[in-house]
Amino acid sequence: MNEPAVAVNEHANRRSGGRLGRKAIRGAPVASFPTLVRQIPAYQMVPDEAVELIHQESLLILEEVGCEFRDDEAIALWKAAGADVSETRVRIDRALLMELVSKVPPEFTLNARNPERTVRVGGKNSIFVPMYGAPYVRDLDNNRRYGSLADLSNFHKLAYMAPALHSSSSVICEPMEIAVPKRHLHIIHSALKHSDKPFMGIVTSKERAEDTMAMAGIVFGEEFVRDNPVLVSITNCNSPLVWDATMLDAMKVYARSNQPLILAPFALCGASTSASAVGAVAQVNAEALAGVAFTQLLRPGSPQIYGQFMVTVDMKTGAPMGGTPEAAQMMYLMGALARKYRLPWRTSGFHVGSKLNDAQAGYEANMLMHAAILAGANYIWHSAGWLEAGLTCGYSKFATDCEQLIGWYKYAGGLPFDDFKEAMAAIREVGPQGHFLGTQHTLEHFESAFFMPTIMDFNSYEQWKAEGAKDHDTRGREKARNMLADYEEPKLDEGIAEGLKDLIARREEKLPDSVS
Amino acid sequence: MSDDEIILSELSDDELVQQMHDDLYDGLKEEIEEGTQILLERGWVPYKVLTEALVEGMRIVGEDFRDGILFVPEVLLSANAMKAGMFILRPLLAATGAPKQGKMVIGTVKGDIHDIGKNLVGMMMEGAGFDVIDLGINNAVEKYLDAIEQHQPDIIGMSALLTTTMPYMKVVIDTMKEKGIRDDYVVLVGGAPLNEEFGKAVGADAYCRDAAVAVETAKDFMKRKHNVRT
Ligand code: B12
Repeated sequence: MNEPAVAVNEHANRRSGGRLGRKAIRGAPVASFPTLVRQIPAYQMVPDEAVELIHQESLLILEEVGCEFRDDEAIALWKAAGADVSETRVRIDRALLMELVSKVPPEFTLNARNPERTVRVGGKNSIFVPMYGAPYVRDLDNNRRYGSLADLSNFHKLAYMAPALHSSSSVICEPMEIAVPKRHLHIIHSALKHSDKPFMGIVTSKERAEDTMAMAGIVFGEEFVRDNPVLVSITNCNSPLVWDATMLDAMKVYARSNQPLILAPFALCGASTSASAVGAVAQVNAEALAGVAFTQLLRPGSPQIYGQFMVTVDMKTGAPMGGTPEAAQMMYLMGALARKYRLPWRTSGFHVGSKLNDAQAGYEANMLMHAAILAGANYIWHSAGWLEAGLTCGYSKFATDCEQLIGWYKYAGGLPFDDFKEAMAAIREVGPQGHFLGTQHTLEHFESAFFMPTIMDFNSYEQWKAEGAKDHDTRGREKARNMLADYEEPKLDEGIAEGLKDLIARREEKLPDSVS
Repeated sequence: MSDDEIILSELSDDELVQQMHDDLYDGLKEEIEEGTQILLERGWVPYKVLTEALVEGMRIVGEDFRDGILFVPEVLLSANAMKAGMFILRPLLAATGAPKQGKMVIGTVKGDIHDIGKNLVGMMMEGAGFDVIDLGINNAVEKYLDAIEQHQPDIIGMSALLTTTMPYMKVVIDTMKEKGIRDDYVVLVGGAPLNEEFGKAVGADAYCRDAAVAVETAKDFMKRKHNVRT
């Protein structure tokens, strides 16, 4: 205490405001993480020659067998481009194919309605995106039932709050109570209202894709959405080798507005591909490349995502599996091909087959995400909520996945050396036999040095028991419940909010109440 | 005993039927065709060949499929062998007025292109001796109606995997009602996003969670149908 002036100053800096102040810091909503910029190398599982071999076989498939494009306009475009067309079968020679593929930018910016949430996709830039398409939810009381608009809104809220999620997806679960012809309007509205992150488009018909673009236009400006990516949409190839009319219609709407598509065969390997991991990759690569190339006929230079969803089939039933070793291996191959083509690449991360957020789900998720990360994926989809091969979105699983993503974000962000010197100094300070828990270095770094999950439990047995001996699934549900209780809606300009409501009302007047 | 040593025509009736059960299990199409011919030549009525040799053999296959001993590709091979036997028997069964095994029209509904599950159901139904007319994918109501008229099936099967296309099943069933033909057919529905409740809500006779259940359910309805008729 011989230098009081300094001491006072230091005290001023060290004061956090006591209990209340610290609570405020710790409880503050975490801002979203920026785009994950990978700082670890991509792992290539096979030698370059093997990648080249698969590439060559894929080219041969498209030249010799060809791919179906079941739409007149698509066929006309292919003809005009000089492909060998007979009826709906398109055979594409390698020069034409690769020329088209090379027009796709290796990276692009995906704009969010809140510019702070804008991300980049491609190259070293990766984003995590929550799941899509679940008819069912496993709810906060652990019941399995059809999803509703309230559930969908909840998942959009959770996506908004989860720091490591970079998108709100769109139809995380289906709002089953809303009539099919009108449903898409409410899905997109919920995503835009409850979150300010990038989102995804509707692809189930041309009209619905156009409605999606109209809604995006209200939020971002009609002019802006004609050229600038604000949403990503999924179009699945119907393996083997068919691009169907519905998907081609959606591609036309989005690609012509420069909105990226994911061109992704959703392959049940063994059923819609041969029962060989490398054989499946050669086929899926051909299908994805044909899709990517087609988008460049619609709008040359438009940003696109080369995609893949490959799971193996359970030969006991024909059902899709999830986190199997082959699914992981195929990711490494697809990743290597994507890098070869310099294309942004989508795979999935946490797409498990398990019914519950249980041990199986954990093992599967880890098998898959580890591969997605090491294989260098850019658009890491189905990263929250996915259970039962996509039939169910679970609240507990969603919350758990969000927590795990923070860990994976860190993992892929590489090992920082910036405090290396201080860490070395701490060794000298403590010397043999001491401990580090009270050193200045620890105090300064503990909050960011290590992953600090709250759903995972590392307490003593007695404490865990005293807190109700809850399993991980239960803790996940509690976390989701608590997050929802803390949710605050992001600001949305009133004019925009009104504009969206008007558009929905106008469209609803025109659209029928049931399918016919 | 290796299979080259088995000469089907030298086996007694009982041995031959046993062997046919094994051959169905192993998915041996030619052997099943041959066995079927031999039994017919020995004077077995077609219906007896069908039930004792083929259907019984496939029952065993079905059981082991259910128990995880046989896998999908193997069962499809067995179903294919069964189908070959059926091909020989079908005209004879009709000519002898034997109870029908049943005929099914199956298709994926309008707007939907998912067909892996539907195909599996179709093949398993054939494996169980049903006559299956597959309408493929993306079927509007007219397609079902035309097929009903043309093929006079016992069972209509509809598949949907999209929540956006599931409601179309109701369109088909309602149209059948309007035409006054709903009760002439058994309507089975399936696809992963469906459930029991949904099946009831659209007015189907049953929802089947998988191909094995589809076969069991279809057989059940056929049994009831025959009871009603006799
Ligand atoms: C494979 C698959 C595809 C393939 C289909 C390939 C093909 N030729 O069928 C492709 C990639 C083309 C595809 C496309 C799409 N798909 Co898809 N697909 C699946 C997936 C992964 C598996 C389906 C499957 O084949 N299962 C294996 C078979 C054996 O099981 P099954 O179909 O359930 O059939 C069994 C039973 O249900 C029953 N059964 C089935 N039919 C019938 C009929 C009768 C009469 C009976 C008695 C029984 C019965 O018996 C079968 C055998 O045991 C499911 C997810 C899932 N877990 O189910 C999504 C899923 C069905 N698809 C989905 C979606 C959204 C789509 C797309 C719209 C995605 C897109 N944006 O591109 C497109 C639509 C394309 C179109 N134009 O219709 C959603 C649907 C839910 C929803 N939200 O509406 C799911 C649930 C995935 C998801 N979470 O997004 N898909």
